[in-house]
Amino acid sequence: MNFFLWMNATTIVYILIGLSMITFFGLVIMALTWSLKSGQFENFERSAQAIFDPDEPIGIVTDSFPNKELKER
Amino acid sequence: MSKKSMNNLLSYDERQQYALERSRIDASCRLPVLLFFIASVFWLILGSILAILASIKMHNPEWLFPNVSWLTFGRVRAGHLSIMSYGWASSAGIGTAIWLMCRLSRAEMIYPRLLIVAAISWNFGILIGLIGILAGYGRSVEWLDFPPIAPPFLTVALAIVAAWTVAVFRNRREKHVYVSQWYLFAAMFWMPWLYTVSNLMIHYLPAKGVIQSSVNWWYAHNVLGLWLTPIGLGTAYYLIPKVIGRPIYSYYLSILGFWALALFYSWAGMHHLIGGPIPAWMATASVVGSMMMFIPVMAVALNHHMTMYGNFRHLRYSPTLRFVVFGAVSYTAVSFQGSIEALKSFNEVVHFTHYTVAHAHLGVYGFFTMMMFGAMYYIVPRLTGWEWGSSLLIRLHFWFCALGILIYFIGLSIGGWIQGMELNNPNIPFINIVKKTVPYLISRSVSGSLMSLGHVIFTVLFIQNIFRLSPRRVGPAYFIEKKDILVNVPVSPLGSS
Repeated sequence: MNFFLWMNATTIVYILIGLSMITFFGLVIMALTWSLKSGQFENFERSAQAIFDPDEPIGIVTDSFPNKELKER
Repeated sequence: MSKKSMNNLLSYDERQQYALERSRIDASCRLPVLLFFIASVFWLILGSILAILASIKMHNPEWLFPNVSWLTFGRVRAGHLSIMSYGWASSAGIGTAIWLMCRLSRAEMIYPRLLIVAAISWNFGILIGLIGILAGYGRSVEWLDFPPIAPPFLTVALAIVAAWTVAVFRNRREKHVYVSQWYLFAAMFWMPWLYTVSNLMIHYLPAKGVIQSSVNWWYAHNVLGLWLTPIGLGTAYYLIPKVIGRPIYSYYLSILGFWALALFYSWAGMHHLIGGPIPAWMATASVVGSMMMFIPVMAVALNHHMTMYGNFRHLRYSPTLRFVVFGAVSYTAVSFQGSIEALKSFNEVVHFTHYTVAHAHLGVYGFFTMMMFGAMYYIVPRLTGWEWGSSLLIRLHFWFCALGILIYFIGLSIGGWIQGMELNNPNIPFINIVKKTVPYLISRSVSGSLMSLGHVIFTVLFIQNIFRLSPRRVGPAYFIEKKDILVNVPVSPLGSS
């Protein structure tokens, strides 16, 4: 049948590429929905501070040249 | 209660607990991250050698074994691009991404052996790819030069790293997804898919006609925009606030910038084919996409600059910050320049000239490479427990690279612009234009040598650290009690601190 002649490897892979594209956008939408539901966009201030610890709090510089123990400051 | 006031209430022991937790997480990443970093530094040196070869051979083709086919311009140039983009930039990026993912999830490394397999597969793929290119089996497809035997190894590595990213995220103890994690996820989702699809459509089941060039430039632009850019920006969004100890200026803006980048960047690739035999709407849509990139770029630029505002003095004291801020400034510059370059009237002049080469290097070098140097200066001592060997060498590394890329960019931009203007004038003989570019090409060889010298210095520092020839990092468990460096944190518009 014509259908089977038409279905060669290239066509199948290209259709799969198309489907993967749709899946891909689906995943993006899922990620966005998840982040909305799980409250990622609710407290921006807390999110911005999530990278600080009590031992490396806001106001502490965490990098300096070696052997320059902050005398220059 | 803000973290700062909390700090005053916690005892030394309690704070030590946090330091220990963080150092445990860092230590758990040691082997896989260092493996990627060691490989990246190796490729950086090899890529620099190929770069100098290609640069000098462009204005002086008879230099160094002109009859050895392995060292001809066409091959070393393709080898340089492939090695720098996959070997150096991507390896350093993957290493940084792994470390950032663990740190931001507050989760210890899981499945380290899987990542080691990924590192081996990745570097083996690059090695056979490079040998293939130098032996004459390169594919003359920019950014996808590797002969078809190499990409499967790279795809396997990318897939492993991407799957690992999801696994470690599921193990997280930090419930807030920091903006850097968004960027890293984006990179890890996009790249394996992008790389597989492009290779299929170009090497294995080639698309016909102009579709192939469209796929080529769709890939080539997205590998910058959706792989290197998110990793670089994610790194900056973590390291700038972390180093200066001040939360990001506007978290809201950072999230907006991320989703705008996700939405618009993938459109921009076809601006490489303006004037080419593709349907006009494709190029036009890309020009629009490139213009829309102003939104995420302005969001990022504003955020990075406003976070740094009032803290520029730290550039003197922090090697990491120096490189990262240089990268962030380059990102703003290169992105605005890129959007303008996509305009058809502008593109008519600069397309197919050295101007584009200068632009590409401002992006991958000025932005991404400098960002990765900054990240490595921060990460490596925390993994090995050994300090960098010499402040002087770090400073030299920075200035050689910074001056190198500046001379490179300025020289080739001017040369490329003159070249573009003259190419549009049919009365000027072609050979005269070629001859006129030679001084600018020599400036590239000089600046390229400067940068390579910087890379050698960095390699010395890196080897010193890995082989414990430098001093041990001070403080128990990487923890330093630095009371004297408390800085005033200005109140941000969100009222934090």
